[in-house]
Amino acid sequence: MKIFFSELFFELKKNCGAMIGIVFIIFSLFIAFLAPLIAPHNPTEVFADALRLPPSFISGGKAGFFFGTDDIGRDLLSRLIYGSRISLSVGFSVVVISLISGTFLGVVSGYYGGMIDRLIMRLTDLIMSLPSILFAIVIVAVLGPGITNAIVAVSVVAVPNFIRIIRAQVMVEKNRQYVQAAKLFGAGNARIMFIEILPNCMAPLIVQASLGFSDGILNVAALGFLGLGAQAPMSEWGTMLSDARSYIESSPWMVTLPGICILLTVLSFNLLGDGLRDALDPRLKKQN
Amino acid sequence: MNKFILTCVLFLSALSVHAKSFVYCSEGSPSSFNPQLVTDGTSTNATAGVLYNGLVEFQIGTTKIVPALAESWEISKDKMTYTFKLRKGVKFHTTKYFTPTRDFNATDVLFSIDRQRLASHPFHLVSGGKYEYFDGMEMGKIIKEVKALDPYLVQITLSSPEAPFLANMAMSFMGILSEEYGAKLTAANKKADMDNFPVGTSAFIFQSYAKDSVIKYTSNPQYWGKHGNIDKLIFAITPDANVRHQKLKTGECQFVNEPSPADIPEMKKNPALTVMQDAGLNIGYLSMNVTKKPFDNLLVRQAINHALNKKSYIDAIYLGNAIIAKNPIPPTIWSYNDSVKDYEYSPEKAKALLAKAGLPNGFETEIWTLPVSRPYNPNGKKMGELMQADLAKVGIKVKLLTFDWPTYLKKASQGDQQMLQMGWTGDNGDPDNFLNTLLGCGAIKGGSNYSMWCDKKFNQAVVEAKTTPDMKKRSSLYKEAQKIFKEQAPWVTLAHSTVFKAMAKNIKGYKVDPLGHDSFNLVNVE
Amino acid sequence: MKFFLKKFLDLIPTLLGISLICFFMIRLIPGDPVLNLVGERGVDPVRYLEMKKALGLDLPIIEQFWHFLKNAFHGNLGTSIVSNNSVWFEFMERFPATIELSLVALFFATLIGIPLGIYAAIKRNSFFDYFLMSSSLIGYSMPIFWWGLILILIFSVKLGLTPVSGRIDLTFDIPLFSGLYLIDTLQSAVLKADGLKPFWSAIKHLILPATALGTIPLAVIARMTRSSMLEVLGEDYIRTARAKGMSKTRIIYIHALRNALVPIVTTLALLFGSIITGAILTETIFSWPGIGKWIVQSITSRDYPVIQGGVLIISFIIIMTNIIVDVIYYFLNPKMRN
Repeated sequence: MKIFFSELFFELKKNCGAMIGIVFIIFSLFIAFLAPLIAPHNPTEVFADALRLPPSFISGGKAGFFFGTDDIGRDLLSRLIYGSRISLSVGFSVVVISLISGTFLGVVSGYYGGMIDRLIMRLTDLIMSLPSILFAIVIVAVLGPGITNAIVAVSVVAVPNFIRIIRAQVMVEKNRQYVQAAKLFGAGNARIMFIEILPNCMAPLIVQASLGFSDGILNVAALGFLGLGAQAPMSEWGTMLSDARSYIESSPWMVTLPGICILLTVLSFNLLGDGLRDALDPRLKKQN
Repeated sequence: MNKFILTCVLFLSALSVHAKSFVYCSEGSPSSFNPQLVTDGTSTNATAGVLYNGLVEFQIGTTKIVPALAESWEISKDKMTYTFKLRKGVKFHTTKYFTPTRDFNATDVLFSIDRQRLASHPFHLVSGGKYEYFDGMEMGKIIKEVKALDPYLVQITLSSPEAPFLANMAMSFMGILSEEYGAKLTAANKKADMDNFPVGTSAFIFQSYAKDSVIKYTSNPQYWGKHGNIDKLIFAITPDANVRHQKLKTGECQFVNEPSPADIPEMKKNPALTVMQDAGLNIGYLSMNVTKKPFDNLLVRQAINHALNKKSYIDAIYLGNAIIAKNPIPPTIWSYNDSVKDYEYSPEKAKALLAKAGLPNGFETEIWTLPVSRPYNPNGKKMGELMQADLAKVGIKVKLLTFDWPTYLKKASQGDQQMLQMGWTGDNGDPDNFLNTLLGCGAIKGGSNYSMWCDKKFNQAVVEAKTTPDMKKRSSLYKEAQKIFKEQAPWVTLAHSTVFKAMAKNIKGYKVDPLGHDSFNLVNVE
Repeated sequence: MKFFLKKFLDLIPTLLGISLICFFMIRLIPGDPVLNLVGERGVDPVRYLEMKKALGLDLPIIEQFWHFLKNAFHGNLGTSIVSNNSVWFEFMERFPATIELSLVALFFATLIGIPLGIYAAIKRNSFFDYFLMSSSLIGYSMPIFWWGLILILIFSVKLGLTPVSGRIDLTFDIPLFSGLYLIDTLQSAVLKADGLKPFWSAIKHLILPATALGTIPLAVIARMTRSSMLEVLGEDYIRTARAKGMSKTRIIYIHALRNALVPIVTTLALLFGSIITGAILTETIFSWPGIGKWIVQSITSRDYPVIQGGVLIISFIIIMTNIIVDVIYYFLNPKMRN
């Protein structure tokens, strides 16, 4: 396992894009963790005499508010900093939820085959035949708007990807000799599935997890934009964007900045995911 | 290919001068094309505003009652009988689906009023059978009898004298529908078309409608009244205020409804646009439910009145386009009591009052924030966040909640809330339409007294005022009522907002309507 | 033949499952459709029950579901609670708008994406290749709800080049024939009245939304083309052709591209699903009167029949496209037939 990761990192180091992604991810993790220390103001504090100030480096801005303020006078920089906490934890929760449930269902489906397999596959077909955002919207409409429900909805939508990937991998692995050997030694199904086979399916799982991160962040932001995600006074980027929509002309920074934050975060996870795929896909490896 | 281009060029050069079109960026789809069935401004603008006339109407831009389909009227001495003399030679619209064979007369008036009034009327249950305004203004109770004395004379008898009756008659829900069209639809067994394919008497004729997208009208060449030079009237349905502004700038529409306060300064700067403004006939308020603890305590209600910094809401939410409200009626309505003194912003006083009420450490409560944007409160959510911050300063911890708009109204009228944001835009310019409709004891059951506040003295004053014909007496009764209201403080009165209308420079003759509706009858495109 | 039969048999449980999900999930949405209908001033209890009955909402839920299924099978998806129009009618009114937007977006994404991908593959590891790959990754990561707003801000509001929203200048009267304005504006009646103006107006209105919606597909297509070309260029027969001394252009455009197209075509069709997803956000931003906006709005107004009917039709379309892709794939790829 250790060798696997050090080899992976060695491959990744050669990939410039992936390194940029990693650096940015570490940077944003840093900001998210240290938010209370870095942020100049409390993200929900209202400065009644500082409405819609432009960033301090533009004329009209005030020194205390580096990225300006929003429509009711809250410091934008602080809100963006705290927003990174939300977005990263959203991405993380989505990946953890969909990864665990997807992996479990995928392994079971691929290993047992037959009825269970058909049932699970039918379910994934079902979810995949609905446009993801639409399905997420319906789920949020049922559960009520809010960040937790948005996470649940986006996770449900993400599960089929994991199931399919793991299932395909398990179907290949289960006929390998080491599995036969384990069976001969009398290992139980659970042991074979999760201790023998699963570690050998890590490669595609890691790639998908990284891409799932970016999908998760993007989808939750989209729900926030439609007013179904995080609620006030939380500073989620998508919600901030949609709240600021009516000021797009008079105060364009209020719309631009959260959008750039979403783009950069999603981009860095995609860069990482791409790099991981290149590093882990043996066929591409041979070609390079 | 060459030939094709050639023909195209020919077509282009042969283009006739475009008819005068006027594109109005409206904010939503109408819920029906029958003014009797609608209550919201959006639907009223698309129906009563352009398609229908009442017997009497408010003169455009005022709350003065002027003749429309009735040329004149007489009121009996006991104020119980109203006799309307109808206008002759008024034609209903000729459309693709209906060609009238006779002029407007008394049968149409009876048809229109009785449809709303009598449950036995063949059209009463069409489209749901719910006449919110008619019922809300208690017209069913007020009107005892409607009869035609001759084809051009209609007599309405009331069950008791009712001072605001004529003003009610001028409201949009009293628009006159065609009885002949109704008969034709009954024969074809398509009664519901009455409310989807409208036939009226006003300056514009319905042409087509695509939900959430566009409504098209053409001008009525046979219109009985004065009208401007618009040939094609188009409602471009654009729910986002910001997009409406952008479309106005790019010339995709000539007029926008409900511009966002955020865009006003820029609109005023733009030389291609005209911005009109008028003090709105509205009130935005925070209602406290006096049946819930601790709001049953007058001291607590007064403390909250002192704790909220209204000035900051006017700056941040209305962007300065509103005045602080101290009375439940706006200053433009007669009988406004200017001697009433407002509770000033003072967290110290609020704390002292709370301590006196036995709550020195404050308490926990909820505020429901308005889920829709209205002129009286453009952004409930943001205002809630400001209130949350203000009340936190005096130790009151507030949770913000909201629901979708119909659920919000339903729950609020049942009194589930502790505090909620609400507001009102006047329907007919009468103080009764604010004081009795929103604060009378009867309105608790009616579901529009969200504070559940029933004060004997207050109620007596407004009920008496309603049945008193003498204006001076009425005025003094309403002034007294406002004083009682302020002392008892069931609301925090927040703001009377300014209403804005923005249009292209070449639009002339538009007048801002204090009741908030848009009328294009007299508009000219230059 | 067995292949097709199996595909179609698989369709039934999936559709059934979707109807089940739609139907029951939607009924769990808090909020009462009757209340939404009666509006701002409330209704008395008797009338409330009458209305509920008229909508069929008083029946036991299982019975409601059975009715829904039975009617759906007959092609009757019910009537909208809000507008009283049949769901099918409302769908058909809006579907052309979505199709027009999606097809134009996909068309441009393909037209630009494939040549870029090929060129990047040929010039592998060049500056252009790196540039294209990184910008396509940016495109792929783009939050399109933000991207759309920025496009409007720059091109409509600041530069005044394109209209802000809508499908066409509303002062034109276009008799509907196909529902696609790019076609309908070319009818002789329209040409006679206003010339080509309506057609240009339709195109101008399409540019921004199609760009916003086409961004992600463009990125995907460019990347897919590049990698698929690279793979093919590395195959033995290309090497042989090269060894035989065939011209480079010929090799690339005749041999390599033809083989590389198979996965590209598949990607294209699979993109259809994501385009519909994108359309929901794009239509919201550009006030495009299509099915995305329709569904989102019916969720806010709790229009049960529209949500369940609409979702059912949309997923049916997506499933059908996937089947068609499978079929195309089946014919294009001889290996699968054996």
